[in-house]
Parts: sequence; C-alpha cells; structure tokens
Amino acid sequence: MTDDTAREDSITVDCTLDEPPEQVWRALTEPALLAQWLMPNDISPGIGDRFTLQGSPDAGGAIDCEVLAAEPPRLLRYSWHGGEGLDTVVTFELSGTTVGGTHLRIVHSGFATAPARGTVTMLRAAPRRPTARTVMQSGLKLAA
Amino acid sequence: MVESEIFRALADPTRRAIFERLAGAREMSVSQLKAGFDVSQPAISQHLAALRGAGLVAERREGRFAYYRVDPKGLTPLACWIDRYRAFWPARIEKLKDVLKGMDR
Repeated sequence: MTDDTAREDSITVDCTLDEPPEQVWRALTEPALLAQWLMPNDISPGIGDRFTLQGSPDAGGAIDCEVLAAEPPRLLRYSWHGGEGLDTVVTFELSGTTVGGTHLRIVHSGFATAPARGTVTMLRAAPRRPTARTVMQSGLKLAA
Repeated sequence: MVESEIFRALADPTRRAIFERLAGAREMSVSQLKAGFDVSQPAISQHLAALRGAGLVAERREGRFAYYRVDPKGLTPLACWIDRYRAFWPARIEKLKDVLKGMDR
C-alpha cells in the first residue's frame, strides 16, 4: 500500500487484492457488502444515482453521495459530501493482475476546491502543531 | 463544526489569496494587503473579518492602525481533517480484504 504524495489536492491509496475485479466490484457496489467494510449505505451504482453513507457521528455523520461514473468492473466514482461542508470525490479504479487478483486504487480528491492548493501544501509542510514560523516559512515557499 | 467555518472562509478565491499573501509575510496592514488586488479596501476588510471569524487570521491594533497576521493555530483543525482521511482509507482497505475473503467466489 503506497501513498502518492505527488498530487497535492488528493489522497491516493493503492493496494493489491487476491480476488478478481468482478468480485471486488460487488464489494464496492452491493449495499450489504459495502456496509461490512465502509459504512451502512443504500448504494445504487447507476450514474446519477444518489445514496447516503451513514457515518458515525464522530466520523462526521452522514455523507451524501452521487454516482458520477460507473464502468463495471473497473471504475466507480462518486461525490462525497460530508458534514464538514466540503465537496470531494472518491474514485475507485480496478484492474486485473496477472495472477487473477485486483489492483485497486482509491483516490479521494477535491480538497483543493475548498482550501487552496497552496494551503494544502502548507499543511503538508507544517508539523502537527504548526508554529507561526513554520507556517510563514511554508507560506514563503508558496510565494516563491 | 470548526472545519466547516474554515472551509467556508477559504472557499472564496480572493479571501484565499489574501490568506496566502498574509502567510508569506510577518504582518501586513489593510493598505499593504490591498496592493496587487483589484478589490476595494472595505472589501479587503470584510474578507479579513471573515478570516478572523474562522480563527485563521489575528489582528493587532496600534493607535488607529490595524495589522494582520496568520494565526498558525487556526489551520490545525484543517490539518487534522486531512490527516483523518489519510488514515481512513488504508484502515478501510484492511476491512475490505476481510470481506472479500468471506465472500463466495
């Protein structure tokens, strides 16, 4: 599992699964299966379909979603509108491996649509509890 | 929720640009900030008020002048929010692996 830090406005997670794409697709799009690993939901994987992921209150509560792309068994993309008031998009890309498994890439993007791209860069550069100095230094890098 | 206020405050492109300019300086007055922006001084003041409301910017008064700087503590909730999702997906993938193992092929 790797984390792509090249894109500043998204979180990318890659993994390799033993099961074939058709089976992984079911786990992404059948409500009962999706509920077991993500959240309780009423997913319906047709383009334009709306559904809700029932996040626990401490995890931001309900997340409103709309299917933006669905190409079984290789691409699923939906909008992710959480209680934080931020519009993001989650994309699942599936591809078969030579040994019959699946390479799954999850991209959660669109953070930059609210905070500026540079702001996220600044957050990355800053430590957990940024001091005035580190934020400003990061800010200077931004301006450069 | 604090994050939503921060996101709202930074959603406006001009406000975001003001914030980033402030982040690159130690402290600036409204008139210093205005230079380079095609926005009126009252508009800049209004954006600063919104940024202050979200805890992103701090004000220092000196006589009839006011100076603004980035409040570094203000970004912490946003950093935590991003950290949360960075941890979220890898943890969910581990659960997905278990679900797949338990499915009929």
